[in-house]
Amino acid sequence: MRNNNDDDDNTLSDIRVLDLTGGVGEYTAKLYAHIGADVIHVEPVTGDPLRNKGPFYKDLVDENGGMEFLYCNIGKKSLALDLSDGEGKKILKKLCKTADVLIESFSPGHMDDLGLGYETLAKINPKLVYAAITPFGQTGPYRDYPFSDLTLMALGGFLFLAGNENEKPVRACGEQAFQMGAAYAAMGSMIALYHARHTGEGQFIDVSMQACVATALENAIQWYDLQGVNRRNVGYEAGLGVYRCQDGFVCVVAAFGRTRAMWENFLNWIERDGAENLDELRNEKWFEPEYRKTDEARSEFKKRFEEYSAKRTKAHLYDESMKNRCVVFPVSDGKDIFENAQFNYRDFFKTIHHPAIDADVYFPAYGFEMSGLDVEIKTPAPTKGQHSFELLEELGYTESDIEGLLKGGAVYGAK
Amino acid sequence: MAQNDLPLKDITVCDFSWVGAGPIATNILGQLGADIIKIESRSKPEVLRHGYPFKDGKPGIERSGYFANRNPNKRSISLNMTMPEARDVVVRLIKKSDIVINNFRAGQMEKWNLGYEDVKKINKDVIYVTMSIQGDDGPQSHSAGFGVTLNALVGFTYLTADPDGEPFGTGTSYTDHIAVPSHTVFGIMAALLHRDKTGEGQRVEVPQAQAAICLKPLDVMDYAVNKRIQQPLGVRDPNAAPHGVYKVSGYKKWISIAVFSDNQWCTLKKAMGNPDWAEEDMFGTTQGRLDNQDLLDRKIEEWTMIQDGTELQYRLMGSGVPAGMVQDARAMIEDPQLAQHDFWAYLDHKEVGLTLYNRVPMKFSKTPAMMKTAAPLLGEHTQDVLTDFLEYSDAEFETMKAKKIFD
Repeated sequence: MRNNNDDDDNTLSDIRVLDLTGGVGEYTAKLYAHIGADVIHVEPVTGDPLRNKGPFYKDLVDENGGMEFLYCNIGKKSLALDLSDGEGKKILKKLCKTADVLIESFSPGHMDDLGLGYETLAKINPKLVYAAITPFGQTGPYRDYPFSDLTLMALGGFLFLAGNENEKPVRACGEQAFQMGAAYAAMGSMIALYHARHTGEGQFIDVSMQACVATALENAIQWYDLQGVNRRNVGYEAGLGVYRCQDGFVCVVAAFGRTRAMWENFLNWIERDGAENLDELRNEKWFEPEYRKTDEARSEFKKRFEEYSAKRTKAHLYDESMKNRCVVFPVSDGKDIFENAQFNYRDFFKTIHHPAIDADVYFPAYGFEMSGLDVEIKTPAPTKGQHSFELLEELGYTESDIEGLLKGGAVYGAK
Repeated sequence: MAQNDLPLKDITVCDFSWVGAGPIATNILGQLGADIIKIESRSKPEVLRHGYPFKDGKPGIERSGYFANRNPNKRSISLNMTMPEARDVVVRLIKKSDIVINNFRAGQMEKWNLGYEDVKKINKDVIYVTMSIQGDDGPQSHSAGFGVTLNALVGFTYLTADPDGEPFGTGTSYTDHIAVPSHTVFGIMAALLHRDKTGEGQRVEVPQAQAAICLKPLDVMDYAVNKRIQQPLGVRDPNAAPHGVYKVSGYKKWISIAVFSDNQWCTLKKAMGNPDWAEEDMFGTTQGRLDNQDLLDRKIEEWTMIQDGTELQYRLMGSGVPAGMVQDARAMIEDPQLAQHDFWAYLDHKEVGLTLYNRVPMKFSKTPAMMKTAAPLLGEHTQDVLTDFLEYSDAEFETMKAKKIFD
């Protein structure tokens, strides 16, 4: 039984993915689990380092309780394997014969050094799609340099945009350089898998996280190329951006270029809802984006709007703006997202029971939905080596072979 | 590698998407060989054609770099969808398409009788993709929104900020660039694999807000279980110190430095010339450095601010400390690592000439992504697509043109 979801009807359950990532790129193979593919997380016998990263479930430090690990590994199997060991290498090679896609995020050249590089594995399985996520790619002057999410965001040009004028920038939450690498590895490996299914030809996909980050610069490169300007944050303008309200902050878009109707509609709505002293904002000059960008305009709008918004909640402003065809959204924190009516209406959040920590793991379930594919993930993130035994049996190892491998340390797992 | 060997060479996309995440998703498909036919309207041009920057700062619907970078390798046809004949053209196009994609507000395609139920009748094998902001049903499914408000709704804005300041965000419509297109492309590819097996099309729904949260799940998970409301950290990290952005010589010049281990700390100390302050006990462990970060950052900045940033970056990276300049657009274009990867491409645009685009950040060993053509002029391919691909006669084309179907 290869399908992790015990769902024989699922047409994509014959895709097998080997997930060798650790810490960076674990979301890639999660997307495959989401469509019902058979995903095997090959982790070190000492455990995936992501297991040790907080926050933890109920704040209890536990190798099965790390939230990011729990999230990224839902629906995956675990095979704990020592790839520096000769027997471990043999097992991986056998497994590659059965696989369609391999994802890894080791340093460039690490798999080659182990004797498990793409060229070797492609000889075993020419159809194999092999995606490698690295900080700077497999070649080039930065190839072997150390990295972190922050430095990749900086070198990828993204960090510069998250600041006004000459202020220092802030970093996007959630290690987005790593997430961007994972996202592109998912797209690239899927496109290559489609190619492999049609032609029998597998290939290597080199994903550079720095380059991934550099795809997310909006129009900054073109600002420089076409107008010689190094832009930073957009929306440093009256009527655009974040304003204080009674219980936090809201994000407002009341102006767009010279669009008169939008501004007037906005003022009319807040006035009906009790805003006062808006006459100044109805002056002709407010339709000029250049005026709205001045310090004077920004502080004037802020003062007038916040006099009104200070007595209204995020929820009130969101609901009422929608009814009045204006655009005011909550600046959500984790609690707001948890309580959001739309997400809950759509059953976006699910729980799955995890016996090892005896808890119902809560998670955002899906970023896309397919009408023709009925996959419900029924298994939580695996414990370390949870599926080692059954996978080795599938590869033809006998019970006594497996006992020997466990004792010898090439494999970790329990029957 | 010839164009006709690319993975998606046989895939035709009927592309109604505009502005952000939709065109970015189809740009990726196009660079891997899909034929993207972008449906535009001369009477209601897509918003980004009016968006800065413009070549030489002169506005014009063929001059926007904002529009261009996400629309290379596509064909553009202009249709006035308020005319019934325009819908007939779309019907003919859908019959020859593998994918029909839009990122309109929920309900717009239905107004043209081009919702999934209608399109299924035209081509039952088609993959029909919707990318509305919050999904196609639910109490807030009809809310209008922009990139900046979506980023606020899903939590990027709250957590991307200085701890003492107001919510800030990434300075961009970040979710348009990665979270939404990646889930869209992945879903499309899964649907194509499914169709290969079963012959069946299907609908792929990508609620943009949900796709965004899937790439930053921890704040809501932490609240659900631990009742903790995560707070912004500026550029800091709960597991590393020093971890910051420091002034270097020059205006708007900073270097980022991230130290995750005692080893890296020792290397950094050495690079600083082992100053006495760095030997204090309080800086001896990660916990100690985390607890004394304000002082630590001040001391490090005193050292960095008089140095040449790029030279310092190479010195630190070369000795094993993660570091990198906070690069602006100009530095990105000149970046030696990206140049080695051939990341930037100059394409010759019919109106504005050679201008800069980025390739997909993936090198395919057998089927490298291709950049063929700059962004299309509005309606540049209307005649080609109609008379060649859709097999309208020249006479039929001229009649439609006279009736202003292509306006």
